[in-house]
This record gives sequence, C-alpha cells and structure tokens, in this order.
Amino acid sequence: MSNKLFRVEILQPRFNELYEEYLSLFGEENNDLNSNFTKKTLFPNSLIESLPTDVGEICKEFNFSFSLNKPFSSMLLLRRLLPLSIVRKFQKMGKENEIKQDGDYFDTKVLLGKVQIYLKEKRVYEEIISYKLLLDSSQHSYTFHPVITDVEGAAVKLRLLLEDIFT
Amino acid sequence: MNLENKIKKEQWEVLRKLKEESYRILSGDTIKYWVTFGFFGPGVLTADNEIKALEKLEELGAIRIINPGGHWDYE
Repeated sequence: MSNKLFRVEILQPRFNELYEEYLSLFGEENNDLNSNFTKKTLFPNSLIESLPTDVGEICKEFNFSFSLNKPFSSMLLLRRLLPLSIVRKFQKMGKENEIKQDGDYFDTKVLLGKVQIYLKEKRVYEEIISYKLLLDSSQHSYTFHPVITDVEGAAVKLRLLLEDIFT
Repeated sequence: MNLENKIKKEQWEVLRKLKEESYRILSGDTIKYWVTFGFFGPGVLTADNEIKALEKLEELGAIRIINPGGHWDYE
C-alpha cells in the first residue's frame, strides 16, 4: 500500500456551513462508511494476527465476502480454511508426517480426527464435525442452498477451532 | 440512496476526517490529510474517490489544498 499526503487549509465560515448541511443529511450515527463492514466481521483482527499468513488471508477474504452477504463464496472459503488450518498446525508442530500417507494429505475428516488430540477444548471437535456436512454440501450438493445464517454458524465454530489451535 | 447523496456522503466522510484532524493540529498549522491507496472493502471509500471528494470540497470553498495533486509518501 502507498499513501498520498495532501496539505489542507480549512476555510471558514464555508467549512462549518457545509459541515452542518451534511450533518443534517447523514447524521452522526450514519457517518461511518465502514460501519457495515466492521459490524459483520466474524474473524477479528486480533485472531488473524496470530494465524499463519495464508490462513489469515482466507479469514480476511471471508470477512469481506460475508460482509457482502455472499453465502456461497463465504461457505467455500470456510471449506478451504478448515483443512488448511489443520495442515498448518501440524507443520508448525513439526508433525506433518502424521497427516500424510504416500505423500498426500489425508482428507478433511481424517485431518479433524488427527487434530482432535491436540485440542484444548474437546467440544470444539464435536461442534466442527457437525458443521462439516454443511461445508461439504456447499460444494457437492446441487440441492442445498446455504443462507447467510448457515455461514455465520459454521464460521463461529471454525473461529473456535482457530483460537484453540493457534492462540 | 440516490447518486447525488452517495457522492455527498463521500464528501461527508472527508469533511469528518478534516474536522477531526483540525482538533489535533496546533493553531496556525495546516492539516495533513493522508489518502491510502490499495485498500478495498465494501463501503470503503476508494483512494481515487476520496481525492475527488477532497477536490470537490475545495471547489465548494470549504478548504484549500496547498499542494494540489498531493505528494506520495516516498517523494
């Protein structure tokens, strides 16, 4: 990112006149163009900062997609996030060989089983496994139409998993 | 929101930032207004539109841009 600097002098009384005019139009509560984005962020920055870079990037992309009420893309990002975060966890622990067979990583269900013993909160596993079907259906089912509340529920469970294994 | 109000809202965003900054500076100082390029998000004012809003405020007589066009941070 780069920045551009403008040096500005305020010209009164015109500045205050315009300020009052716009204030009456938009009001103080609606004055933040970012407010919708901020409110609908499910993965907080404090968590993203503690994650491996590529996992954090997916979380940011998810926040963006979710804030636009896009259930399909949000769900697919979650589906990508789940196995990737487990793989990165094992790499971080230096135990990558535990999640591979013949050079390939296990599928997500097996990965979840493998990470289970490293979880501080065992309930996180139960919660995630119940949402795995939902995540898979978003890609493989042609009758399932996820809605934004499905996404929110699944994302909260994934957030718990990320917090458990990376913080 | 109609198009005119959308544009005015962008100007409002810039006005608010200027007002806030005006409380921070010492009397007699000019305001340093930074525009960040390369950040995109829903509802986030793009750098190009932010500069246009700033220039429009100058045209409306609310401000004077001392360095028209601005300076990059690496200049």
